[in-house]
Amino acid sequence: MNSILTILKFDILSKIGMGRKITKQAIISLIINIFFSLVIYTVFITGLYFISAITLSGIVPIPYEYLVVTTGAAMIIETIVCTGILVKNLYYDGENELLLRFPVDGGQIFTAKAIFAFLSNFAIALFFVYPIYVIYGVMTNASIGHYFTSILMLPLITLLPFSIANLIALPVINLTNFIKNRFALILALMIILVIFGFAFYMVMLKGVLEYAQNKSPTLLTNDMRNFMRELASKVIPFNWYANIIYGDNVIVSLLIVMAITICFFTLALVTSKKTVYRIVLKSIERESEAFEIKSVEKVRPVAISLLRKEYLLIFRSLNYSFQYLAMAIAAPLMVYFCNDLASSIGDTSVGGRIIPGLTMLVVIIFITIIVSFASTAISREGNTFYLTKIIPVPYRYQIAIKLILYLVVASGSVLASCIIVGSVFGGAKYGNNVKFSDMISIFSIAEFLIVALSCMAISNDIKTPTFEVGKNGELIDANKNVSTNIIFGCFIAVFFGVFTMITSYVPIKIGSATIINDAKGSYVALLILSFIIAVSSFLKLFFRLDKRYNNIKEQ
Amino acid sequence: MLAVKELTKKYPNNDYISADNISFDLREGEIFGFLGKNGAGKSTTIKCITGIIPFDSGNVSVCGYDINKDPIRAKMNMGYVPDNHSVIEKLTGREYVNYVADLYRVSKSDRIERIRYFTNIFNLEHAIDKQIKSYSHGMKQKICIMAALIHEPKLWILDEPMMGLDPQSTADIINYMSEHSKKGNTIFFSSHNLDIVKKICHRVGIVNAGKLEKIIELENNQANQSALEEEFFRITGGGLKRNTLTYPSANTTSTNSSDLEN
Repeated sequence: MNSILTILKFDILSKIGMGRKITKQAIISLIINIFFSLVIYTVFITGLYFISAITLSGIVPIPYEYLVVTTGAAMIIETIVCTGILVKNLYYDGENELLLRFPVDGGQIFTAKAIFAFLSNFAIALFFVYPIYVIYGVMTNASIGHYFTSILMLPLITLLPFSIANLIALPVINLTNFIKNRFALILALMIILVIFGFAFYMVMLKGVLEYAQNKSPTLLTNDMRNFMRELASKVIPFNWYANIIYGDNVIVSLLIVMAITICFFTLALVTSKKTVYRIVLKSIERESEAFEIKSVEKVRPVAISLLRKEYLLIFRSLNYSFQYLAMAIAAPLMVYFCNDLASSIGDTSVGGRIIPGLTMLVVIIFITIIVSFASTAISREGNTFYLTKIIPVPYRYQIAIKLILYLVVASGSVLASCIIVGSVFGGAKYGNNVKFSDMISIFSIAEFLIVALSCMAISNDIKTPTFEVGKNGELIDANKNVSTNIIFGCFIAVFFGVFTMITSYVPIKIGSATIINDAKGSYVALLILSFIIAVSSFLKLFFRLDKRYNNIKEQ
Repeated sequence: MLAVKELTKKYPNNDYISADNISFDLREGEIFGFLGKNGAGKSTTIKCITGIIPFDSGNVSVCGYDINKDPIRAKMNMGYVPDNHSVIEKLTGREYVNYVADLYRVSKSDRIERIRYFTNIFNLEHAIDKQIKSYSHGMKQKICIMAALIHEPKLWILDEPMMGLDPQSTADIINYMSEHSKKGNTIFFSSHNLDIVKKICHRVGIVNAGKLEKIIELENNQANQSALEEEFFRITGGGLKRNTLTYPSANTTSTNSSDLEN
């Protein structure tokens, strides 16, 4: 028992980052993290409140259906999250190899890690599912008993997803092993996931904002209500859970829920006990298993060889592919969704002339996110940083190659964004508010900003690189350069976007002379400004670069 | 081939000088061993010579090219094997060696011939097309060596190359070092293994507390070879302590199952 508790304690402490040296920087970082987490949580709960309002206090409330759908969605999400935790924490955790050297058996490791997964799932239920039931209680004027029943429901809601996750973790591991080194497939799946996730979020947000604006529940049409009613009557076991909260057929529903839970829990326990040790060992063995590529000796120019190496390092890493390639490829569609949302709201409130400014804002924000990857250009070299010092290629040349890669990827993404936005929002449906000249101007400004932000990001990383890499040679944490560059990029995005929006309506005058009369005037001003920022960042990066690079020390 | 003159390096946050006024010259075809305790300044000196870290004063020239003034030409004539065997693990062995060969502008025919040769002598035929992350410690070391030698460098620098290698791999590397030097190339390597150094080196330098204390001729000098160990311990002071320290008694610690459980 003590061993189980020790492993569990170690797991919890390592996941929440305790036990490390408490420095002033760590405390500030913790406070900032807590602050941002609270902000995000508040935004989430507010959004949830509005979505709930549509179903619970609209023209035709559907409270029972609300409970079925939200409980069902929560349990599906919990199952997915718990499967992820089990796969990552139980089967693919590097510390398993370490733990197995000590006098603990597979069963103890499994129990400790399973308890950790259960607690994680329970926390999700507490912080995300319970507020749903509280909102339900507030909006339907439920009695005090509802809030207690809801609390008692949380372990039940957690246990079934936990048991199912234990069962499906095994096939998921086999699938993971199957696609492990199929990098193109992984990248394609990640792009689809990002686009669908973002699209779903934006559609929901649009519905909520439209409802908040004019109480017109476009998100919940009559057809949608009828669909939800039909769905709620059919989706077992979620409707049994909803019955308990709703107060309908409580005893029977509770007995059924408990019976199902016990069955699945027992099945999961028996299956896991029999297989877990073998799978943990197999996972340790497969961890170092790598793919084989029969390549031939081919002479490439130095620049191409450096570019190819940079690309392969990103492409063959799940983390880097997601952070960079998936974001860059998915960005044009995300720009479209953001523009669609912002323009529909802006159009009804201040008019369609706001669209070019909004496009500028959104495009620059996505550039910032994509280019932030350049903030770890040097740090990502990790343990092989020495190679960059010993090869007979000038440092400025190596940096120029990295810069070219970032410029090409970000430029491709911006070009696609401009084409999509121009062709969709330039049409009659949106009042022809986006013209070809707008897109050319936004693209040109964005190009200068890509150069500027990439150069700044690389400069910062040359100044303060962090070579903290994990077992797989990848950076453990994004360094502070990433957040610095994102903050700066967002500032530029807001400034450039808002400036274009304002000048579309209000001329800028100095004395009696009109300096900027419309969006075109603002484009000229912003082009000049972005050009100056780009040139100065470029010069700052390459000025005495060899000396600064030479002074970088491995840590 | 390699001329180091009054090389001095002090790390900003350290109280002591890591490389203190170090000077030596290496001849063509020579194997030079660089000896010293842990932390004596061997790796720092090597990193300064290879251009990995800047140094405070002095000069380093490789084949007549100053590492600071003409670094690209100097590096073109140098091959380096680090002590941590770090290689780009996401690439396959062949991809990695080809990548390095591109950077040193090695022709296709040369690299085909050399990769085949090294793959054969290092027994890597089965692994060369696999991703490096699946390699063992010794295999990574061998890939490092292949990459360092793919351009046939005139100066080959190795930082503790035998560390953690099996006897077969060690023998393979020793044999290749001799072979490489016979072609007129120079080898400069740091090591803790005095037996190997005695066996293959023409000369050795012993460094202590950042200073190059002594250079000893070993080639055709049986007396110096025999006295190397004694001389090493005399300079570094390590040998005396070995006999004065006592190992903690076995009965001072006890272990039982309840301790383990807690």
